[in-house]
Amino acid sequence: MIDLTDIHVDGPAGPLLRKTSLSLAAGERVGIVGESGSGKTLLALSMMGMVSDQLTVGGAISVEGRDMTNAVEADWRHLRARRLSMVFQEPMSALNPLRRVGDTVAAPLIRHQGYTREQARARALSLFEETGITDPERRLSQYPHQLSGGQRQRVLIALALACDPALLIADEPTSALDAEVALRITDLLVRLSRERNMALLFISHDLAAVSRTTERIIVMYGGDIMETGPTRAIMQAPHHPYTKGLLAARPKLWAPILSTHGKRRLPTIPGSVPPPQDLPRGCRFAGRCPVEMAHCATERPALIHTATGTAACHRQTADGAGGQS
Amino acid sequence: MSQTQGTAHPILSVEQVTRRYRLPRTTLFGEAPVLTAVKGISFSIGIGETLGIVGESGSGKSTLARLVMGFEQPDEGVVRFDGYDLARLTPAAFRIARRGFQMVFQDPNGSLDPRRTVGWSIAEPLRAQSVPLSEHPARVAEVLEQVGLRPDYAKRFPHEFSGGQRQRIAIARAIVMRPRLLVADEAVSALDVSVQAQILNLLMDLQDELGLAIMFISHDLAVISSICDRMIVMRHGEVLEEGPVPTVISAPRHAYTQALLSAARLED
Repeated sequence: MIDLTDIHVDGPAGPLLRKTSLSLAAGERVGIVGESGSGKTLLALSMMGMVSDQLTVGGAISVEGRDMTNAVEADWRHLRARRLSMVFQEPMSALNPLRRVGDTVAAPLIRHQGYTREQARARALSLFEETGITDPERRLSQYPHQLSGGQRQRVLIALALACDPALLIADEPTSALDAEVALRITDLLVRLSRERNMALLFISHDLAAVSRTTERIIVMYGGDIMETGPTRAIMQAPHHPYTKGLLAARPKLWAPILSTHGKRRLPTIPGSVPPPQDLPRGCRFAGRCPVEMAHCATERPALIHTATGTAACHRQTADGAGGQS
Repeated sequence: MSQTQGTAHPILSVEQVTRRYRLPRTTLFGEAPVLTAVKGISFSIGIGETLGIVGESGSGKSTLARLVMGFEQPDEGVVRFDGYDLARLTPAAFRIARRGFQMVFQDPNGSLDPRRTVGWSIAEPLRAQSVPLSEHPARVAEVLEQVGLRPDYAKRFPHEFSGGQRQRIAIARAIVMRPRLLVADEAVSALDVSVQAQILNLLMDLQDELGLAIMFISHDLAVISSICDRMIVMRHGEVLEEGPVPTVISAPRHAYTQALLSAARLED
């Protein structure tokens, strides 16, 4: 459905997203997990042709067989109005506070798809029903401030679905919501992806939310892919030391029951993410990695196959080749 | 002062506290509706203890924090710090009592002035409490080390630090008066997973070193269960359940707690 080949983004101070290749099949649900500065949003924006002019993008991209590598803004706008959609974290700032939410959803239908006002309103109503908005008829004529956070996020999802996209990119769609509401939003995204055979790219720093939503996970750090694999395999048996550290650092519900004696401390990844210009030339995780080797900081590891997916780690190569582990 | 040790004398006790807010009128001549954010809540925190308060937005947990900090007065009930009713202290006495309890917020930027060095911001409580100026540099350096930062960072500005480092600085500011109670309202919610673990460990380290009591407010059950001794589950301004963390987690009595737990379990 969408293919990225050697896509990379450079800023004035150096690379922000290293050469990365990635494909999504129709209807596939893929998660990108990473902390601040990992490049996960930049990767998503490059799929939408929305990377800032201040940055340079390289590499090839094709959407549904159409080469978008040298596409101009008008081509991208055409594609975004029809095949690609995005939902953001903050539902309040993405909605016009002075506009009834029904009108917000109807507007692109009138503009891009030639609907009449009545047709657009009927379509907006059915989208509100599809996204589980309560009392949809009445909601159409309400303003954003009259809706709860969860209902607003549903309106944004309805808006994103208005053009029947082949790919929906959801960037931290649940981070501003309560746990219970977040759970229902992720369930909704999964259901919509299944029913519409729509690819879903779910971007989050929240491993739990991503694991509930996706079939495949891409773990990013410092503008580079660390590991990819089926969601279950990544969550249960990660290969990359960064993924292992990230999973271990999550507070777990049952931890205090297991360690009622002695000091309770969470496992941590030592240090902090360096600013982009100070990231090591080799593996981005060098300097914080518990199993680092001499050449890790200077040589970038390639993504190589593991039992279940791929991992970019010199340890994988060393242990695999030597046959000892 | 009743500075006896042990949990028999709680550092904080909240007794039958109620707080109401008048909402904007919905009709021109109608009565303004009243929202009862906190309804007759009671609990206490022992010296050096960590109490977790879990609840969703709108449950009243942040109102509770403001009442405990004395930012607001309860409509009914009493908040006692170290045995003293905060509402009945004279302003001068309140100022002295205020040294004993400090707060850490979700957004560290709120407590750091972007145009001032972090050392200046950390020393703000010292100035407010008229601690002699000559002591400030040493006190600032001491707390910076306690939160795992270099003492010379005092000369830098907030924008030079990452989100996690800024939260460390906000914690340094909160402990510079050597408080006995720290109120942390969603203090790790905005942080990345690996940074969150570091800050939670820091809070536990400080508790061991300084004998701090912590009132830890969060919507995240897994975070609460990792660091708290006891916990309270709140909803719609009321306490639904209270107990030691292992008990509440393994045998929740209230249906709402069970629902929260099953949502959190799904995530593992």
